[in-house]
Amino acid sequence: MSIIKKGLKAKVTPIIVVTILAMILFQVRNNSYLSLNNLKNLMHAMSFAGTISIGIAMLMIGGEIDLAAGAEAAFSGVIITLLIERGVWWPLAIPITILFGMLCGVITAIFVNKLNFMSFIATIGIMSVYNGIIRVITQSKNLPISYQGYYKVGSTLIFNAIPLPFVIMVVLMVIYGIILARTNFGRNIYMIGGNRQAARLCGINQKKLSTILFINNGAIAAVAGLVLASRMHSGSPTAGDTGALDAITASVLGGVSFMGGAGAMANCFFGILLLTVFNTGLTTSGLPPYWQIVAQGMLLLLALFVDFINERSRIKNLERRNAA
Amino acid sequence: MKKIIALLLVLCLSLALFACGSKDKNTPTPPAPDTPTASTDTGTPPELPTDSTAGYASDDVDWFARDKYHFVYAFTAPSPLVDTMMNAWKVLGNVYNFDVAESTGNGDAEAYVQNLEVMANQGNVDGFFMDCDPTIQNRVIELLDEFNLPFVCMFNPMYDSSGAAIAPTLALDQYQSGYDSLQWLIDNQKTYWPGDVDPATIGLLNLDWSTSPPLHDRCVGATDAFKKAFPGNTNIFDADGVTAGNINAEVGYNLTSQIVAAHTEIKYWFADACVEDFAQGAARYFETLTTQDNILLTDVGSVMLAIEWDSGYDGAWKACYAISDYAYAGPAALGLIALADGRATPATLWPERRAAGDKATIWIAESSIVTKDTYKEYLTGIDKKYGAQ
Amino acid sequence: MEQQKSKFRIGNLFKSKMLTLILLLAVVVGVFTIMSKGQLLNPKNIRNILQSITLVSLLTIGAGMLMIGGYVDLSLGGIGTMAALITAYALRAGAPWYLALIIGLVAGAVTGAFNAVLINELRFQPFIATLATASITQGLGYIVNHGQQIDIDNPVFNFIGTQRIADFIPYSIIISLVLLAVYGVMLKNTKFGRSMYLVGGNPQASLLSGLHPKRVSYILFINAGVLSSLAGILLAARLKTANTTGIVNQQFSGMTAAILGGISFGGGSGGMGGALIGILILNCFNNGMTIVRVTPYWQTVASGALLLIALAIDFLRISRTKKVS
Repeated sequence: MSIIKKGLKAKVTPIIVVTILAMILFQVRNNSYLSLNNLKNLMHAMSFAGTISIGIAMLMIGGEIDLAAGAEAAFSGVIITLLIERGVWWPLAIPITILFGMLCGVITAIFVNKLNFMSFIATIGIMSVYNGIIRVITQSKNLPISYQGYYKVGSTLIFNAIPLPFVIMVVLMVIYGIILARTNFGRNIYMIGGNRQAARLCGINQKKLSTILFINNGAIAAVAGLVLASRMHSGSPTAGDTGALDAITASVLGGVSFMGGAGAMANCFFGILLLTVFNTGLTTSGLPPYWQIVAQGMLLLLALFVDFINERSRIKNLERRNAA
Repeated sequence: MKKIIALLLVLCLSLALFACGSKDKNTPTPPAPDTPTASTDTGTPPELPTDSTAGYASDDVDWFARDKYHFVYAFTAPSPLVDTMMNAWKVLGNVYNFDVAESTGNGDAEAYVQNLEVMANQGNVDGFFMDCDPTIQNRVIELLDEFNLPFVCMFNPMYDSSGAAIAPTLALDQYQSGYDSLQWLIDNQKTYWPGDVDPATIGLLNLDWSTSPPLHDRCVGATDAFKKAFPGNTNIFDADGVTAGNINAEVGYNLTSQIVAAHTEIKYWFADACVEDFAQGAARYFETLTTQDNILLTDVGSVMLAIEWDSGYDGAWKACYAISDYAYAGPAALGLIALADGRATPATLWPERRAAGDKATIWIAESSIVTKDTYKEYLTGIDKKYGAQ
Repeated sequence: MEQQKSKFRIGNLFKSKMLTLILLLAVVVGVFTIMSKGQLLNPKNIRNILQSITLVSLLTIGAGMLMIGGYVDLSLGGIGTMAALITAYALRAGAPWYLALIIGLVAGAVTGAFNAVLINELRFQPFIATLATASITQGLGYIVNHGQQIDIDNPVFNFIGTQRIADFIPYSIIISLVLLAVYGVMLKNTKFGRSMYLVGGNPQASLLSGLHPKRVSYILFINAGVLSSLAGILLAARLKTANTTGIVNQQFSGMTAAILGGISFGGGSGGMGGALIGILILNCFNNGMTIVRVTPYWQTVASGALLLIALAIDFLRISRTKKVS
């Protein structure tokens, strides 16, 4: 089947279509919507939740979830602020922070895999713990980063046009997309998410894989957090409060499901793109805030509904083909 | 496996104990057998005042002639502002012989009311500093009446059904603070902008949080200042953070970037943020623009901007409405002590500052707009004036 | 024969679980009593604890039943808040108290049914579907009165919300205790109740045995919706106002209490008796922290830690019974 046909049938296609339509609509209403300036803003706005969604999508495909990802990102932002303000050389502070994120992942993995907690509820507890701790450390304040050299990470523009945080997100998406689609490791992740029993029978060590995914998620959350800290020039305890939920919404919008499916990273990208475009449109629309909130909920439902329609038609097609 | 569980349990218990031990040990005295107001019974009942000097540092009172007062600060959710108040009271407590414990709902109204009752029922509370969500005021006022304990409100006055303030309050006039912050920018625009700016290219950006009336009023004030200075100018843009769901810098950044990029016809921006976090995000965005010199940003609240100025910031965020912790903490403490001593009642406290129609005084804390050049001197000066050591 | 065997095993589980729970409650009460020098058991404080369990218990029943059936619902907080606003709006528009109450409860039931439709007909993951519903109910709550609160000034509501018997036992707690008892009995002693355990623990088997998991699912979600609405309305009665934050922050307490009380997240086990103890543990814990004056930040940490401990105990129990069987 040609690539175009495959693309058309992909789950994510309706999302892309809606996104493009929305962007055209906004451009018509406001000539500068697709201007370079505004596109830069879009890319910035996508980068935090989008980066977090990478780790979360991997977890979701593997049948787990991590609601503490936002708190882990904020924690990492605070950690790197503390490191840099105490004189640690920033290119060294970055890997230290990422290691810290991986440590958070290890802790979560212990709870979920060694102690068999359900990841959903365990990470809610962990999120509370982290949120409390970072507020104690920062006294609820945004700790400033006064060392200007670190600002580069958040504000550099590649080719003088594309923000570095966005590039980091896309690069990570490409790498993980390839891992998911083309390696055994990636295929195993789909297996443990789709059918845990079958995976075990195939000899896949589900717990080891799940642990790797949590550690990976921690590292990615750390990257998201430290990049945000650079953009905002501060380590903030509130930075990640909506991060995890936005990331999950974006993944689901894009079509990443607990059940598996191809093109996960592309799904994430378009999911976060649609979410950001939608929210931007809401902000500049002048709609009263409460209508905006309802609209956000409806968007999620719409995405789920489209997903459902797709699934049904795909199953019908399979049935038809089998019957023929 | 069991070892890990045991370790966790021990860890959590020791965490709890450590958390208690690290605070100033506040050994609660066993509850007095009679009424909760027993704590004001210090032997010889003080005489009621005949003049209006109660509630000031100049009161002719020996602060240490009585037992230490135990006050409770009941606030809706933790924030840097709460921490600065607590720190100020820690210092003032040594001077005026009191200490302050915290009670909060962590954002939840039910827990707030719950904990308020728990604290009051302890029997060793002498008074409250109240910062209460305006939407649940009615119920809280009832409870406070039941407790029969004195209280002073912080930041948000409490009104009865006729709109009169019913308790002494250390307030920030939210509307006026927004109005004044923007007015200052308008008055001083010539310092930053060239002489003849086409008014049609001037715009106002409000970074709002509409579901909180006090915060929202700040933007309303700023909008009115703008409308008065530029009658007929319709370039007023409201960005509401509520749909983003969070008060943090990134939301401020995103909201600002979206509005500013969508309106390239506006060449000169006035921007005001109802909270410091939004302003911080906005400042970050403005730094990425080549036209940053044509943007003037202000906000209500000085904690974050002072930190930025300390770090050498010099961008579009030119000024802010200073909130000095001592200017609030000082008079509030003195007022509450006077009430607890019995030297004043809500009706008789600070009568010379009372607005017509109110049953109790709303003391609008002294404040000013500060800039990079004036903030240090102003803040330290104000703090010292109200009791900082 | 089969029925007897399973009853025996559940009975065994139940006994040891209750013991663990009561032990844990005793530990929490004991530790905080010592730390607070007896303040925890001060009658006025016990009164406060009783007051604090009224609302959470309603949420716990709803969430707990769902968990037994194998579901999770993140929209309970939003439903309660929205229902409270709708009821307050009806009251303000002049409706008599019972009508306003019914309207609010119906709104909750409808939303619960909506959740059930999403999950059963459209086959969305419960987690995602209820997340979307949470967003929508939050938005609808805003629409009711443009984001402003609505004050409640109705004598019946004020009475139930704030008055106490002998100035000690809040009237609203009677509602909660009665409901806990009713649901507890229903779970253990009726065919429907027992079938819920099967549906949650082993959906395939339940289908084969002729049960209707779908119908059970609908009932559970509608039930949770109604209970959450009741909780939200009672809160509004207590605070004398319905606002847009309402009961949103309490829904995780409801789930925590259910888990603490032994209702497994995997579905299929637990009961209302355990849930009540779980609620008591949670509230004594929170109350204790306030009395001992733990800073709010550490309280947040401790709440998260408590949830993790609850899960740990659950885990211990499961691994212990695995060894037995």
